[in-house]
Amino acid sequence: MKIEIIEKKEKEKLLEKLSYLGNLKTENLFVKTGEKIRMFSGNLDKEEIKKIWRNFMIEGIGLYIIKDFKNKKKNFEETRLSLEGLYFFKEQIKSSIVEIDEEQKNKWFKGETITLKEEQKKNIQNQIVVLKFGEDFLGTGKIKEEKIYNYLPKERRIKN
Amino acid sequence: MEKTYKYNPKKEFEERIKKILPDEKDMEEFWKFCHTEPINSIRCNTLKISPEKLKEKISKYCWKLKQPFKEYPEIFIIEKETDLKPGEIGKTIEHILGYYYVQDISSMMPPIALSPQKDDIILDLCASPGSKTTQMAAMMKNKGTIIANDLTVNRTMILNANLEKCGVTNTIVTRKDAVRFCQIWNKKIKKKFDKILLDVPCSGEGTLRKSPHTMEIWNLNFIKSLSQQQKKICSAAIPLLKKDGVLVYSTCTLSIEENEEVVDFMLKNFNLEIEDFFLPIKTREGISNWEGKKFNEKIKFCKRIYPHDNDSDGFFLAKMRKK
Ligand SMILES: C[S@@+](CC[C@H](N)C(=O)[O-])C[C@H]1O[C@@H](n2cnc3c(N)ncnc32)[C@H](O)[C@@H]1O
Repeated sequence: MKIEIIEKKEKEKLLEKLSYLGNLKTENLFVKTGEKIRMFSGNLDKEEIKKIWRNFMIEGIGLYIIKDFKNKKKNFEETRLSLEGLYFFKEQIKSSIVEIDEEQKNKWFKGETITLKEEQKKNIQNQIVVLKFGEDFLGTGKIKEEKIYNYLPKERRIKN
Repeated sequence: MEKTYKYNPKKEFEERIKKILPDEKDMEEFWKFCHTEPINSIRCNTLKISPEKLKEKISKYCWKLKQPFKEYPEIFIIEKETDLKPGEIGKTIEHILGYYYVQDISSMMPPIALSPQKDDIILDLCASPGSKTTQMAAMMKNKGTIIANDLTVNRTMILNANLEKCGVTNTIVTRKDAVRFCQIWNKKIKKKFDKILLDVPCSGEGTLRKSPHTMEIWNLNFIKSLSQQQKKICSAAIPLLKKDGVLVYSTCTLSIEENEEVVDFMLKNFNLEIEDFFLPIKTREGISNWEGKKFNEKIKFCKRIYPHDNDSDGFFLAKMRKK
């Protein structure tokens, strides 16, 4: 795994791109591995991490929390929290939340697309939304034509 | 012993268990338990949810839950009377969200023995699938650092998936042969560890209840070669430990060659002191004499966990400190 430790400024920029969810903040180190951003809370400094990386096959560091996707050709950019990112920032997430009901929740965990109900359409300003059932965050999805497309990773879906 | 089960132990294995558990009734109980499934237990992932909240959330499943240890409210037993469908515990939304981890009680003991603290740097050398790594990360509240290593891509993938599900942020995962890992670390990184967990590959005699076919593939030569490998792993890991640092050696097997003999080897060849320690379940002393070999008398501080003592898997633990 190729890793790149993210400097403070770039980290701030990333969190700024997620401001559609709220004013997200953390002191933890951000590490870039391709389009996945991981967060490391351990007590090693940057130099120590780099040294480990140079000498070992690093297969993982900290937690995958953000997907920062860019397609220059299509002029497309998308930054969103992973399911675990949502858990980490859950106290700080204040907007772009869609509260779903039991039936929608069951569909969501099967990996299906959810059709928005009338009352859920109100107050949606962003294409990427966070799904919530009761007090549980269930992941992020993308709204297109009154539907929420499912971003829940396959390994977190309920298999029958 | 009457052979009325689907899987039956090899004669030689049976003979050895007889020597380990000389009391006939005790031995009968052991085999009786080996032919039943262990009690189901889960560990609340306190990185995501409190034990009280989890209890409230899973009350809808009507599982009969018990929190057997006051000091460890995160440990839940699902009592036997509970009518569980196959795989039910692993299919709930709470499990998918990483609110709890399915783990045998005996497998929760090594982290309890190691007692990781918030600022510790910890090595978990044979870490996959990560039951103990995730438990330690929760005990450390995602502070400090854990270096979690395993041998193959497949194993580190499983480890990574479990770390992710549990929201672990303080861990670095590496993929190396254990001995090689230690050599490279010692030469290139040099930083010493406060604590090391050696939950080494073993013959798995303690997990007969979950994988009864082990009874039939059991093989003494395999045990002897594992014992050699375990000694090599320990020898490579000890130099990475700080002075006064703690090392916990554990296996899910009962053979003396993989347990007391390895600990005795460490005490003989390295500057380590074995310590007595407390675990919240029933344990028995380490065995000091085996087939003409006499081990260090402090080997009694090792802890043996038998399936029939706690309705769990079998396990072995030893705690040592670097002088
Ligand atoms: C008993 S299991 C570890 C269980 C783990 N500690 C847990 O609590 O989930 C032993 C592990 O050692 C790994 N292993 C086997 N040979 C190894 C080697 N030479 N170097 C490093 N790891 C090895 C296996 O892949 C296996 O995952």
